[in-house]
Amino acid sequence: MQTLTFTKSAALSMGVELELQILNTRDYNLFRGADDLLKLAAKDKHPGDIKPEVTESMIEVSTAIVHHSYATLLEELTAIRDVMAGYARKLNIALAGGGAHPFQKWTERRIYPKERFEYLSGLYGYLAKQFTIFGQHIHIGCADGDAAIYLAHAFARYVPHFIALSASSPFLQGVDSAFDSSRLNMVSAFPLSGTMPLVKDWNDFNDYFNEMYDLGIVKSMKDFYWDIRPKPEYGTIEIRVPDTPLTVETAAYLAAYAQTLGKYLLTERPHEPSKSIYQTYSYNRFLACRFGFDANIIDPYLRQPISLKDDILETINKLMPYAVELQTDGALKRLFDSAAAKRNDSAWLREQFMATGSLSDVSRLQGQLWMGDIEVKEKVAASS
Amino acid sequence: MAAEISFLPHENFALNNLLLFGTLLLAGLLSGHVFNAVLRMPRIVGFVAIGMLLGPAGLNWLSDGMLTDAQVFVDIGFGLVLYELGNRLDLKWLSSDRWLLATGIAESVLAFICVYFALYLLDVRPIIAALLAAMAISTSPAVVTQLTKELRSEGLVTERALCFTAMNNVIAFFVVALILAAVHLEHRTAGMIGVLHPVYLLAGSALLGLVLSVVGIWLATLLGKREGSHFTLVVSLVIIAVGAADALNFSVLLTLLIFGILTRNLDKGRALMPTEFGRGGELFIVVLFVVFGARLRFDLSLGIAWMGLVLLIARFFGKLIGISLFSRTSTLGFSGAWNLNLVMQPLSGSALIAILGMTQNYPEVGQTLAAALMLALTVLELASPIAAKWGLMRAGEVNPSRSAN
Repeated sequence: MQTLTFTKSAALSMGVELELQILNTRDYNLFRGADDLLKLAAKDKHPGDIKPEVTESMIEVSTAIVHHSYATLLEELTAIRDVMAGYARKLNIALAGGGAHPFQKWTERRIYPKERFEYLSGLYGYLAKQFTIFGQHIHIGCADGDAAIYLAHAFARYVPHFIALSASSPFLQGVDSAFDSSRLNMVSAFPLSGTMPLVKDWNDFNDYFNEMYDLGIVKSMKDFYWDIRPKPEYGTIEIRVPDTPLTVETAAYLAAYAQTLGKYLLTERPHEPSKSIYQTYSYNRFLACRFGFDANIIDPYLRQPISLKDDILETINKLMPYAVELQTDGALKRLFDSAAAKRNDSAWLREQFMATGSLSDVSRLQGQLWMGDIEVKEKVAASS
Repeated sequence: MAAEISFLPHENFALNNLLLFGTLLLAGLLSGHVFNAVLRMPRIVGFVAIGMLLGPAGLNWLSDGMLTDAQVFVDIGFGLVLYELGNRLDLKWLSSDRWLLATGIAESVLAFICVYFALYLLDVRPIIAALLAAMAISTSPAVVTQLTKELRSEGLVTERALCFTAMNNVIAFFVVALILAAVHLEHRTAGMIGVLHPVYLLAGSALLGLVLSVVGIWLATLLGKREGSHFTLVVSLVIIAVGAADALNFSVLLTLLIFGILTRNLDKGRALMPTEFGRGGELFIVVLFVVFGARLRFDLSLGIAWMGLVLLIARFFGKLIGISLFSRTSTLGFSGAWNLNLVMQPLSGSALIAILGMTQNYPEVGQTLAAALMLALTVLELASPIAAKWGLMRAGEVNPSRSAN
């Protein structure tokens, strides 16, 4: 009998993990530079945590501090970005955001030599290499396990928002996939992906976990690849849906959005978790990945279609009083402008491809954007 | 039967150029396959070995005359290799990581010093020793580029190996040119010509390389971004470069290296897409190695073998010390430095030919040393690709999964 203890943590605190692309500076394809980045980091005092991921051309950075305010979160993310960019320049490589690399071939990837990843490669075969995709994980602190379970269900209704606002993987294996986020299709291939079952509280969840454990299906929480997953060791609920945005600023906006949503949901508890959410979940998730802001998702409670763009704008308006209180209003305003203009990172990537005609160039610009060498001028202009 | 049957081929027909190219290619392919599939060695070793077997030192099926005829294919292959190598030299990297620049210079300088000192101990005349030491600086562009492609190696040891190879070839060229100028001056060869020749060589080659890179970038901008047309553009410019350098008596090596380096570093807007010569270029590379193999001569008198060994060891340790000096400031570490040094061991084929040529043109070199050098170089040519492969494998940079194609 495994008892998962939920570590209590500060309610609505934030943490962010970002999986980044490591690129060579010749043709900007993926490059196995994780080890060298880790070696440089090991010799240096740096902000945040830096860890390898399943294949050698991925690196994960995360905030080491628990953040209560969007401002300090953005500060740490920017500091991490600057340090990582410095390491990358020293190694003559580039680091980029984006949910997937536009033209890499998964067959050329190599599994990072660590026990956990070798185990995954043995178990999942080619899926492990195909899992060379890059996501942002947002942790929201919860006072107890029951709050975490409630939020997991409540956030599910807003998953299409996170998808459209973060989407940055329109290109795959050299072609336009027609999806705003092609990355999430890779996650779906795994047997333990999807959503948490409709458990009502932490005890209920523990029973479920024990059943799966006893059946030998999972050994730990890490084996679930759900879109929203409790993380009992941290005392958080983890939203794993967003693509890694092209800039750390957008990553911070999304975390701020999650925090503000969390406050609204825990304060007003507008809907109790019910099977309605999960009836429409997969379909809405697909629509958001495929069409981004243009998606017409099904509102699970009103039981009718609504444009995702309008849904986001209405939600942000509703959240504004909480945003002001949490001082996340600046971040939410940026997301509001993106949705209103229907411009996410996927749109920017497609524009760069139109302008340059070369995915190698798109990849190069992705790297320059993440590392802070260039700025997205239109985004700056839109909100001024 | 008064009329001569003139449509039949003449007896003793010389191997015309097409037959020659095709034969060299086929022989290389088969030998490379045997060495790789059966002996598990890099295919390059097979190419060189079959050249040695078929050339004047072996069965003499490839005569010196035929090798001269094959030179045009060798030049094209060499041109492609040098261009690609130059393309891997990112000057921005060297300027952002000063220790990298320092290491590249150190490995060249220390290789020179150690080899010079070894030759000095063997009582070789200073000028000759200096020339030989200068030539020993360079790492074979052909072996390093071909091997890293064959093994699909990827990582910082591979990147540094390519960077330092480009650097040491440029440095070797300059040092050789300087020493030759000194030789000319010493012999007071027709006054100013002694100095003008190296200047002509250096400045002319660099200028030609610059002109071609500017033209290449401009044409690439005109053509727009379609991978296919850029490949043809680059190959045609490389062939033009080789031809022009030859015609103008410039150095093919320096021209092509500069062409490659400047194309990489001047192209801020990335007009020219990165090109890999892949299957097409490999045809010429195979012939290049087979012909090099055929040019090797070796005298198996073991009595003088130790002298050649001394040279190889001196070069090995010179480069090792140079690479290790600053290895703690990078992610290399000593183990990485050792691996990188193994990859840097192959000696430049053109340096090899030049050394052999020198031993013929300068009788002061002495018969014994000449024989020792040839033996040492032959050993190096066969063993160094194996050592380089070992270095890349130890560094964990060789791709374990080979795809179906």
